[in-house]
Amino acid sequence: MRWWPLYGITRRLTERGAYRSQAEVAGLPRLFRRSLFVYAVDVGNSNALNVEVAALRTPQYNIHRMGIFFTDTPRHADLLLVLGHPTPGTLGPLRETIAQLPRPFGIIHVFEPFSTDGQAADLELPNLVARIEGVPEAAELLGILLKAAKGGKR
Amino acid sequence: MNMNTLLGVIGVGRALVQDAEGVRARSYDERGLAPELRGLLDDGLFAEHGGLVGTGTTEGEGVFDFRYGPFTGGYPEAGVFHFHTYGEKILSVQADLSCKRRAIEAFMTGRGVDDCVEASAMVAGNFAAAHSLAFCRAVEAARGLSVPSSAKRIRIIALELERIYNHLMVIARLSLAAAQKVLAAHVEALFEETLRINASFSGSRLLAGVSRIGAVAPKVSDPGAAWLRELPRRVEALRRRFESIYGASLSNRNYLDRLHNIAAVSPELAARCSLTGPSLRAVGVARDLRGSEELLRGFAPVTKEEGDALARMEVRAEEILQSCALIARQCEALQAEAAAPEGHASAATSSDATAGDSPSVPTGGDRAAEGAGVGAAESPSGTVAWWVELAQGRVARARVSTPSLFGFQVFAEALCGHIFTDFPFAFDSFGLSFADAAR
Repeated sequence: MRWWPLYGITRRLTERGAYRSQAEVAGLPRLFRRSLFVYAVDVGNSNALNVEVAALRTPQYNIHRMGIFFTDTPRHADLLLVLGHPTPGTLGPLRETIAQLPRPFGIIHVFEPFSTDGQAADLELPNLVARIEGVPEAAELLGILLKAAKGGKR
Repeated sequence: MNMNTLLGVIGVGRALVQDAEGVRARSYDERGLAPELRGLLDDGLFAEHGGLVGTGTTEGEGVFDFRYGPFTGGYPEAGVFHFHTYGEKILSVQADLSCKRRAIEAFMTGRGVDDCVEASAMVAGNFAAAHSLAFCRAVEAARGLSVPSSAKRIRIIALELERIYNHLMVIARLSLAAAQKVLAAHVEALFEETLRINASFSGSRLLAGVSRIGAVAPKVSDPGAAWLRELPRRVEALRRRFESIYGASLSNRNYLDRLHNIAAVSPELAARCSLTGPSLRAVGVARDLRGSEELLRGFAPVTKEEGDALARMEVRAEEILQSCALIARQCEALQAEAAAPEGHASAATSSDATAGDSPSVPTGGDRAAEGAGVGAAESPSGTVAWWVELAQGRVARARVSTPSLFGFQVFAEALCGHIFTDFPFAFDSFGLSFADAAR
């Protein structure tokens, strides 16, 4: 049987990277500069965005070292990451989730260019710090989160 | 097992049916169909039943409906589960797919086929290669187009890379659910590495846009491209790392015990609900669309007998190793074809599909603007099949059959009698996607 902890520490998976994003991101309050808890919700994306968020949580990025954490509840979240064009079934739960966020909070909305209803995904969300069209790769997504945490200046 | 698997109704008395040779449109007899399967076969699932799939409800003293979703910390996709329970034991299960319903087939009506290739990939972004390939094959069948062998090989590579990263994602989730954090971290690292390999191969981490009608994308079609030299080396390195990690995980009793005997599926249940893919192969049925691919002669599907979450994980793990070998073989063949004298097939791009650089490339594909065809591909979770009817060069009607839809029905039936803490192992081991099922 392999002794997993030893296996774990003998292989270095974390990478160094600058993780900068050119996306337009407004800054969150300075409060979140060193610690940002993110709650991600899928509101109807094709899964491509969910896969990139899963990739962001892999050891290569080791996001905890940068003070970024994913949380499983809106109650612990500083930032709501909304993924996709909303379907009729997710609009209500999305509003309810926003109502459960502690203040202050921010929202980043990422959505794919493709939409079957042809509508732009402008949801008029409160405290929106970025609205990004496309499927940002995990590294780009990390750059966006860091930029938001650092007051939009990275 | 010799069986016909009903995958979806496409008209009165006609359906998509999978047999040992592949998927085709043919007449079917709805007498004798299991009622739960009948409900999955047409759009009535959403129009009449609100997108609910599963076992029905249970009533009784103290029994309540525990609603889980659409936003939960435990599962990344927007979907709702209804567990009927009196506290711990799950008595019946329904999954509500409606949150991910985007009506992509209806969106395609009246649109050009190239737009629809892109739309087909949006059914499930993590099955983009399989959906777009199956859609392209359906249009190619409708138009009577043939595809150069090198383009077919590149499509196989995309399909296998998609299988690898999806299987890794499933195994990482299973190991996380079993609190095997070191194992999960190493598998997740390989998952990210596979996405990077995908990007260097196709320009897209999720392999979007590889298949085009009658061809493959220009980015992957150059036989002298750097990816063809790099891909075998990177895939071999990934194979070695995964083989080592997987081998070690098989000696970890804490991990294996958590998967053993969870949500076991019988061959009868699998057949009754049109189950396909690794979950079907985990009950001992050696059915895989890759077996009927002309460029994969001699392909032997990975099978297990037990039908439980452990068997499904083992099938996926061994398929990762198998996919690495298939990619290596296709790369070798591509290199050999590229080095061969003129006259051998080269991969046509969408812009040169009619250039006639290969005898297998049609010269008048667009002439066949009318017709109907079926295309299918073995996605990481089973059979994806598209039926497309063309009129005046546009899509008049499209219908897709996805493996997740049938998988949800089987998952719901298999989970009954288990307790709540078995849920992540049961669900993740099927590799299901709400987006894929709801389409």
